[in-house]
Formats: sequence, C-alpha cells, structure tokens
Amino acid sequence: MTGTAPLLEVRNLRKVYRRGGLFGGGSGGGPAALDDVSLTLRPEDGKVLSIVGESGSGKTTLARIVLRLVTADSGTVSVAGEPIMAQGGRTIDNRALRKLVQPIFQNPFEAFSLQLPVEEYLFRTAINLGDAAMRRDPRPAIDEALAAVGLSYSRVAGKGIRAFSGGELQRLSVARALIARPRLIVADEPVSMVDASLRMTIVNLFKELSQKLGVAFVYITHDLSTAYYLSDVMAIMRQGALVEFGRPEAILQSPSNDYTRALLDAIPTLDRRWSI
Amino acid sequence: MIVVDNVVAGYRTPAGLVKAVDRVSLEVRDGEILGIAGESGCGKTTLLKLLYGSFGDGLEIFSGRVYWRDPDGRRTIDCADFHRHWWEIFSYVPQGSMSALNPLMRIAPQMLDAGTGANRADMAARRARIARTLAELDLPARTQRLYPHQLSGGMRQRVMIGLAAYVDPDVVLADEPTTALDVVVQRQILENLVRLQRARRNTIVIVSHDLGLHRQVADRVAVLYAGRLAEIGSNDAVLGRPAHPYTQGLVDSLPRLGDRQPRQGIDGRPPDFMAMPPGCRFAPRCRRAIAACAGSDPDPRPHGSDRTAACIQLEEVAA
Ligand SMILES: Nc1ncnc2c1ncn2[C@@H]1O[C@H](COP(=O)(O)OP(=O)(O)OP(=O)(O)O)[C@@H](O)[C@H]1O
Ligand code: SF4
Ligand SMILES: [Mg+2]
Repeated sequence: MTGTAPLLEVRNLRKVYRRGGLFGGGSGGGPAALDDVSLTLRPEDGKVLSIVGESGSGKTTLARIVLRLVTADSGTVSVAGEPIMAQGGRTIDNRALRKLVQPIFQNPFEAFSLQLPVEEYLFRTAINLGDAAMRRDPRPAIDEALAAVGLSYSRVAGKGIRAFSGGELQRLSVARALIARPRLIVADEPVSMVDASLRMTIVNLFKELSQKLGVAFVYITHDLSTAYYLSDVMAIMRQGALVEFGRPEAILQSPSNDYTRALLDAIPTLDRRWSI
Repeated sequence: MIVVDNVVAGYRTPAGLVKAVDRVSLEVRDGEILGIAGESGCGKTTLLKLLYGSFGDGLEIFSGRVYWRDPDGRRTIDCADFHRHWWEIFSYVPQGSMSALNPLMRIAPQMLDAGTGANRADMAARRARIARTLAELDLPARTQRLYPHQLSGGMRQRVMIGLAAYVDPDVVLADEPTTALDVVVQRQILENLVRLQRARRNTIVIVSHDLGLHRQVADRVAVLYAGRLAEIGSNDAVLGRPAHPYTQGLVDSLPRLGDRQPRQGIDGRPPDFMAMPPGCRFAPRCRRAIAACAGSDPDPRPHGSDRTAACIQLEEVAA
C-alpha cells in the first residue's frame, strides 16, 4: 500500500493528558493537548509538511503520536497507507513502524550518549532495522547515509559526541534515521538548539534529502521563517487545534484568523522593524 | 557610560585559561539600547557580567579595564566596585532568570527586598513605583499578591524586568530576556522594555543570539565571535549593511518570511577556546579568507562613520 496513499494521514486525533500524581488525584483531564486534529500530506502536495506552533500548542504531542511514543485518546494515523494508530483496528508492529517512520529530536546532544561512540548508533540501527544483507554487512548502508548528510565514516569512526558540534550531531541523527530507509522522518524542533550559522545547513539538508531520496519530512517548529522556507504544506497549531493548513504562500498572504496574523507580526525578521 | 578598555577576561579551568572576552574595547553609551549578538559560547554572558561587575562565578579580568563614568565625566567607578551600586546604577536580568524568583514569596515583597541595597526611598514611594512599573509592563495589579508559580512564563519574565527596572537604575543589563518565550509574548515584552526605556531615558544592554530581535529593538549592535568583537555599530550598519564576513554570513543565512530564495549556513563551527586558530579566529570558516588572514588577528577599525569591524579585508569585503 504505497503508490498514491497519503504520506501521512491524521484523522480526528484527540489527546488529553490526565493529571496524575499527588495533587491531581489521577482523574480529571486538563485542556486538550490535541482537539480533533486532522491533516493529510499527499504525494502530490510535496514532501515537507511543517507544523508550526508555540509551546503548548500540541505540535510535539502530534509528533509523538505519529511516532507512537504517545497514545492518542481517539483518532487514526497512517503513514504511506500503513496504519500506525487505528481505533480498534490492525496496526503495524514496532519494527515495521521504525522502518517506516524515523524520529529526529530537538537536542542532538541527548540523542547520543556520552559513553558510546556515535558510530555504535549507526550500526545498531542497521542491525535492528536493516534487511538481511544490511544486517550481514552494515557498512555500505552506513557509508551511504553518512554521505547523504555530508559526512564520511572516517570523520566519525571511534569518536564520541564531544568531537562534534551541535550541527554535526544533528546531521548524524539524520544519517542514523536514513539508514532505516524510512518513508517519513518526523523532526521535532531539530534546529532550535543549533546555532544560527549552522541552522540553514540542517534545513537545507532536509530539503535536499526530500528531493533526492524522496523521503518525506514532518518539520515541527516554533519558527515560522524556516517553516516557510522549507515546507510544501504548512500547519499552524494553537492550544491543541489546527488553526491553519495549506500552502505556505496562501497562509502568509491571507491568514484565516487573528492568531496567525499576530504570529506573523511578532516574528522578528531582519527585513522589517516594528514601530514601537 | 560604561567603558570596556582592551579587556581580557574569563575563567581559570582545569584545562587552562578560557579568555571568553579577549582584547575587547567598546563603550555603552548613556541612553542607548545596545544589543550584544553572537553564537552560543562566544562570550556574550561573560561580557554582560563584566558590565555588571559580577565576579561571583570565577570570572576574572586578566588585563584591561571596565569602568563607569557619569555623564559630565566627573565621577568614575571601577567595575570592582560596581556591586556597591547595584540597583542604584546597574541592574541585571540574568539568563534563564524566570526561575530565579523566590518561590515562597509573593511578588511585591520580593521586589521591595530587591531594591533595599542602595535605594532607600521610603516604603510608600517604593510601593507606588512597583505598582507603576508592573502596570507599565502590562501586568495586572493583582500580580503583586501572587506567588511565582501562579504566573505564566511571560508574566514571570516581565516581573524579572520589573524587578530590574523599578528602582530606576541608569543601566539595565538583560541576558536573553525573552528567549524561552513565545514570539507573540516576546514581542509584547520587548515593546514594554523599549517604552520603559524611552520614558525613563536609561541605558539598556540586551544580550540575544537572535539578530532579528536586535533589529527590532537595538540602537547599536555588537557581534562577538569566539571571544573577540567582530563588529559594532548602528543597527542599520551592522544588520542592514554588515561589513564583517561573519556578520554577513549570519545575516545572509536567516530566511525572511515570504522569501524562499535559497540561503546557506556558515560551514564549520566556532573554535574551541583551548585551540584558537592562529590569526583571525573566523578564518577557518570565512569564505573571503586569504593567506594573510592566518597571520593577523585584527582589532576592529572604523568603516564608515557608524561602525567598526575587525577584518583585514574590510575594504574589499564590505560593499
Ligand atoms: N563560570 C565559568 N567557568 C568556566 N568557564 C566558563 C564559565 N562561564 C562561561 N564559561 C566559558 O566561557 C565561554 C563563554 O561563555 P559565555 O557564557 O560568556 O557565552 P555566551 O555567549 O553567553 O553563550 P550562550 O549563548 O550559550 O549563553 C564558554 O566557553 C564557556 O564554557
Ligand atoms: S580577516 Fe580574513 S578570515 Fe578574518 S574575517 Fe576578514 S577576510 Fe575573513
Ligand atoms: Mg549566555
């Protein structure tokens, strides 16, 4: 079920985090982290979907549900036609899921441990998720993934995370994700901890990989400028709800609500100055 | 005015000296908003601590001088004595300060407590000033009676700014004051800060890694790279027509809303303080570097009337 199936399809997702613990008494929900969210990325729409929102908007919850790190209260998710979350229906197992969807997280320093050489993560991914040939000899797949992100095995071999900058580690996270040859990479704030001078190298890498390898990206961010730059389709979330969904140009030209307008006005970009 | 005169400052660590601020000279002019920009670890916070005279965490001046001079030039104070004038002349909003409020105390008594060091105006007048400052920061009056945990992140950050500003210091030093906040809240707070500064005509130094933020609020902008001052000048000069290749690279890399023209980052990464390249510290990443760059660690020199920049090829590089 690939071909014309949507790269990502999210239907009627709802999620309320229960307030557990001492004071919550374990019952009673807070506000909905996701309130009936539906969106679709079709192959003909493009390869990069950005989900933009401030803290608490639900964007990370959405990412985590797609990665099946969090369970939704209701709704369905599928990737390339494969059911990831279904109400009572069949879903694919975890290994199949990881082959299909790979995560990239915010803090590249937390994605790798201090103890292990980073190449260890590349080998593990190849052995856990690769086909028989890759499991027998992981190196070609690793070399290929490193080359795709502009690194080489000799640059990486034997080194721990201290030998790399935040930008390089983030590239290594991408390389690790690519080894699984996923259809979709879900990147949650992948550049917010990377210095400005390196940020565009990562963002451009996503663009290039989506075009060259055809892998789709869900780019989760609070930064509307890079989202606009990168994405084919853009979603804006606020307080658990989807407030905009469409082509970035269309959203910028005619935002459909006051929140989007306030957001657009509040981005401090270099080409304009607020009148204070 | 605060004068930083050829200062080398930093920390003694087991691995050796970290000269986080290295041969830096600049002045903070009375009544201006000076923005300090640069990437993580380039020395922004260290420079701000020098301007505040805060030597608590091992910061040392190895050479050079930092001092404050009053507007008619009659009185100077060395930075070793700045702490005697905290609140009165200098106040500080530290990085990540949202969590610096005392969780067990309501806001009003915390603010009253904070100002007691220098400014001993009577209680009633100080209470009135607290109320006025909180109102100027768009905080509801009831904020005074609340505990920190009852405030949102944006409200807490406003309280921190209020805390630094209500005693009417000459200079407010703010380290990434809005970095953890949503952009809509960030905009409101920055507008509050600028309005407060205009009303009181004090000086603000604001540290941020976000050039777009400086573009909105700063009168002048200083860009640090690996402990060195790369460029300083008017907002329009530095961010509108950057002259230093590093500033140019940063400015070019930032996407503008509504523009999808391809943009490149700057390859490589900032050097380690323990292994500085010879010559210009930016040379290993600089697209304009020539052989001579590795043999010269340039100090900033004037380029036009409203900036100085530290590059041996300024005339060729700056359009
Ligand atoms: N108390 C300290 N002891 C030892 N080294 C320190 C100390 N504080 C900072 N440094 C080092 O000094 C250098 C400059 O740090 P500083 O905090 O001034 O950078 P910054 O520009 O404010 O960075 P950021 O944007 O991450 O806040 C760094 O290499 C840092 O590791
Ligand atoms: S001195 Fe040379 S290396 Fe340094 S910024 Fe100028 S051109 Fe680049
Ligand atoms: Mg800092």
